[in-house]
Amino acid sequence: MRHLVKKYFRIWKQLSSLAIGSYLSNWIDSGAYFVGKCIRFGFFLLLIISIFRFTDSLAGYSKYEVVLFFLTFNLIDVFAQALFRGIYAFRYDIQRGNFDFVLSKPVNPLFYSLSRMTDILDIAFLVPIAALIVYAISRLPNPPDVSGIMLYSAFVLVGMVIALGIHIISASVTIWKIESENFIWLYRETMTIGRFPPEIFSSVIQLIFTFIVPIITITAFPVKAALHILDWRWMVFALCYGGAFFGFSVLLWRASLKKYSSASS
Amino acid sequence: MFVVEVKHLSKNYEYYRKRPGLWGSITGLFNRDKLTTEAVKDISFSIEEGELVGFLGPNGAGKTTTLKVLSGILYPTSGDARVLGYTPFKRQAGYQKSFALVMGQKNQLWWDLPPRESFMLNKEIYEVTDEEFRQSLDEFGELLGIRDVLDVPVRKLSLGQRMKCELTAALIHRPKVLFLDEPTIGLDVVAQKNIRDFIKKYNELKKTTIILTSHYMEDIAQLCRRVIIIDQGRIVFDGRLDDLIKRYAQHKLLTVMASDSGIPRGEVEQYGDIVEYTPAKVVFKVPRDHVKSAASKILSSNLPVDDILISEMPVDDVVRMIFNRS
Amino acid sequence: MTALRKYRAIFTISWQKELEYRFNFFLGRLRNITVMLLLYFVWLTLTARSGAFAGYTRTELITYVFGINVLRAVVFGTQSRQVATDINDGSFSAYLTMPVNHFLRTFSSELAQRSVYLLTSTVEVCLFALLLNVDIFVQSDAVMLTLFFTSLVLASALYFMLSYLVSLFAFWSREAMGPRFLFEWILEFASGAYFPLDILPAGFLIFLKCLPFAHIVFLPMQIYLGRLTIAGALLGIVAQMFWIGAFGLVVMFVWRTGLQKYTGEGI
Repeated sequence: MRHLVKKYFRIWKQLSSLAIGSYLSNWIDSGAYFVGKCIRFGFFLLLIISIFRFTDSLAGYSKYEVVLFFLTFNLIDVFAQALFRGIYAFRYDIQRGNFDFVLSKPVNPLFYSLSRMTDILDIAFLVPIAALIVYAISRLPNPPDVSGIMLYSAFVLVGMVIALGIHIISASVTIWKIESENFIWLYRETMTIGRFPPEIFSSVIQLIFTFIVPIITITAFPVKAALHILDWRWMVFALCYGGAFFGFSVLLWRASLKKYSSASS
Repeated sequence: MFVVEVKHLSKNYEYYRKRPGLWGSITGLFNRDKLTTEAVKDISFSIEEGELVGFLGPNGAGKTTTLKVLSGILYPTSGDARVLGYTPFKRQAGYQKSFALVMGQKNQLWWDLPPRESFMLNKEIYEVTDEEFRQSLDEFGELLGIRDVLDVPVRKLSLGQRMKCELTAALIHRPKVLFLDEPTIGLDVVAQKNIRDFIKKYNELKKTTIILTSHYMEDIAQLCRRVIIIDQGRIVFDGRLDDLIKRYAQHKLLTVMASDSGIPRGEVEQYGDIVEYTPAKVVFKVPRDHVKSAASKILSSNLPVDDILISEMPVDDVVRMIFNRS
Repeated sequence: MTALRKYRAIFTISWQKELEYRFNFFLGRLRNITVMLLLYFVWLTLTARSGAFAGYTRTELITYVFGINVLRAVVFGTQSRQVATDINDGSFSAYLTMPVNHFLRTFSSELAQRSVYLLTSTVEVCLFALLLNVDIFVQSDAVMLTLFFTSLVLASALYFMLSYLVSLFAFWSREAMGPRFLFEWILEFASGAYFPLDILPAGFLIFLKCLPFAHIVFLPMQIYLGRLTIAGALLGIVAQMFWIGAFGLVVMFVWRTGLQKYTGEGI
């Protein structure tokens, strides 16, 4: 077991170093993507701040609470983007048949495919986000205690596990339908829902995005846990759901690998 | 004990047909016609350790599909395939560490980076020790002459150099079995020969079992004593290259060299079909059992013959004939 | 006339291409709906107390959100994105040998894509308006409507001009997708495709109005909502024409110099 962990860590390290090399050799692209993400981030923050020029609460939350929802969304989103970046190249690899090589090697194809392009620039982006989170938390009307912060971290982790599950499902769908590059983009876009506090939505939509597409579970639960407004029953639910969701995604992946038939001979 | 054993292997693919026109596109949103192709139909063969076997066949004959099944990439639809005692599609690490796949049309090297980086990745994946890694790199760098390009980004390399690096990447872990799918495709004659020489040397040196597919006859003729010909998913021939010619070529070639005055065309037409004619040299296609008599007739005639040569048909022609027939 | 037929053929084949990739097509639409719903609920919550927010009535804000869904379909396209890819992988060479104008060719396939999206986005908007039971502001003033449609056509041309220009960057670098990504996100926000620009602090608003982007979504929406006087609308339209003319010249210049740079890499 330890041997396996060590092996995979070494592969991950090598993959990341390859990715960095690749990003550096395409510095215009990587730089422009980075600036683009900063602009998107800045504009949304600007929108939230602008909204609070005209009101002092959104769905019952104060300015820094809404900002915290937005930052937490970014934390998880960017983290998932950085670590599971390979999913965006997956379709290309399938179409070109390069995935065949992966399958013929003694490495877990899912691990390889997801972490193949680990994005270091995104990880760098996490630093200002984390700093802003600390700042936003300090500006809250009632800053959370130690237990609140621990709950926050725990549910960020749960969110990451579910996000990983979504990436695995997306990779599986790519195998079933080669033209489906939008599947992961659909997730990216629905993720948008998580930028704002869930209470703005009608209850039907809240239910859908908690149970069926668990965006709210991923992004809003950590904040609510930190603010001590998440009922313990919801906490238990999130833990069970996360486990089940992840398990399902892995089963689906296995089925997809069976189904895989190469591009053309 | 066979290294590769294939019994009654079949593999089907499913795909969809698009109906023509705009209306077809719209109705296609709701249902599409499903079609099945049988890429490989009930093939059986086995290969011994250290053999270098050539798979020959036109595009879409099923060569690559067979290699993919043997690599564990595709599940067989029916039948059985075993390599080194393993069932490939189970994809056990033990098996994966003992074979390698090289595909001429696809690349495993990272495009933007020097090949050395990709080799390092394979080193970690195949758990090769630093020492073995260094040795392999030295050895292949020497044999293939790629020392100078190890640190140049792959996209700057010529196709030939890239192919050599692809081979190196596949051999870092010293596989016992090697599947080469069209390793010389698109290369110029010199680069083709380099790759060919390497494969030959490697096979002799390491006693590695190699299956090679190609549609360049030259590759097969130079490298393989045994050839398996696949057409439309079926094996049409499996045996030694010379047997192939004996069995399928009903003609031999008779080359007559003339001394300085030359041979007038009209006087030799009676001896057989003329394939090539210049006054100094005439090549005939003659049925096997008539070759001797034709030769002696020519020699005993009063034509200005300088030399006479009997040879087999070129393999190319024989194979083309087989494909045309089926 | 025959020239027109050429581009019509390109139009039809692009239509088919859209439908061929049905999975992507459906998901692409679903993606727009998500953005629409998110913004709808944000404004709904914010106008819950007083029925108005930041100088907009609830109906106006919601019309803005639903309106952008259709406007995006008409104005934004992805075909010019393809130009960058084509130049980078060398398939662009094929166009150079054909007797077609590349700008018009791309525009034809863009129009095809937009017409498919226009159809679906209109259906979406009607469906959700019924489903959520929302009031949508219908502009009935003929002058304003004329001005609106004029500005819409110009906005669509301006977007294409800018987008095509950004793609031509591929002549100078293999790395054209990053700059396109940057362009697209600046466009999303600076054009007002996410929220009406005048909720921003005055300094930002003035800055954004000086850029061409604000004339692509924000201006037509303002005209439709009747928030501009006739003079104001006309001024906006003149500004649109100015930007189209200016960028038209830049595109021509960049195209010419770029072609000399073109290496046909990848063929």
